[in-house]
Amino acid sequence: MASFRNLSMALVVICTSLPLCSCLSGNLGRTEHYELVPPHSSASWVAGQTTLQDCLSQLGAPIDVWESPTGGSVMAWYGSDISGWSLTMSVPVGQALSASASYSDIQDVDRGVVLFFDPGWVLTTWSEGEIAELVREGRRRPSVVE
Amino acid sequence: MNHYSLRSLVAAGLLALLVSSCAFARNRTHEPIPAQAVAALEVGDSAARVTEVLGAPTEVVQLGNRSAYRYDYTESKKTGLLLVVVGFYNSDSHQDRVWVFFDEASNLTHVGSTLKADETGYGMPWSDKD
Repeated sequence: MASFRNLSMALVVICTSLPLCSCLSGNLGRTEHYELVPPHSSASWVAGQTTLQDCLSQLGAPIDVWESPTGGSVMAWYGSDISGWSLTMSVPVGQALSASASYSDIQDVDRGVVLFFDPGWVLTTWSEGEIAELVREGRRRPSVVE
Repeated sequence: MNHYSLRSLVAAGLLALLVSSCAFARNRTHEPIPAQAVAALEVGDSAARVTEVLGAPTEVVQLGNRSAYRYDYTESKKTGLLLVVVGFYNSDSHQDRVWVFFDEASNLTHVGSTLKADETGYGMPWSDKD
């Protein structure tokens, strides 16, 4: 008898929620790409001493490489593993008009490190944080080769 | 209708709902990078030798008078499940990636490699891949 009551309840929930799917929806999502830079990676770096080889051995291949404004090179390692909920609600308010609202607690940002090397492949400085911000600071067009 | 047939009917209905609203997708970009090929590279190799081993790079970056080549292979797997008003999706993407760095004479100075494409997997948002 209890199982019959459970089945009835399931039917009621399904039948009640079916009309809702056209105006209310929720999503639980997770997006992972590349690899997160291990925390405290920078603990072993010393400006003027740590070499490119040290960093490649520790972090693997960078995602991006470009020429630095000072003639050296800049490299970025980053990744993301984000998850969260998003909700969307749409309500018809007239014959050809509807209102909608959405909420999401997913922040789609890549985090990582940007390392600056001098022409001798020695680490000069580095930055950690949101990669879009870090890359914006250090980008420039390649110089003319003479 | 007895309880057994009602239960079967509900189970069939739920199964139909589930099956009709789940999705799997897989995407691969470029060619996998064999670990043996990366291991075969040695400092001092010419750019010609590197391209002979790894093929044409995805990207060439000029670093003053020096240069760097990028090789990558990306694998992505996506899973989705829609249950009436609640949806679940999972997207997982990893790369085999190699950067080779050359000096002014186009001789190999450094190799950096990350070979993680085979760690890409299907799952749900709450799945623990480890």
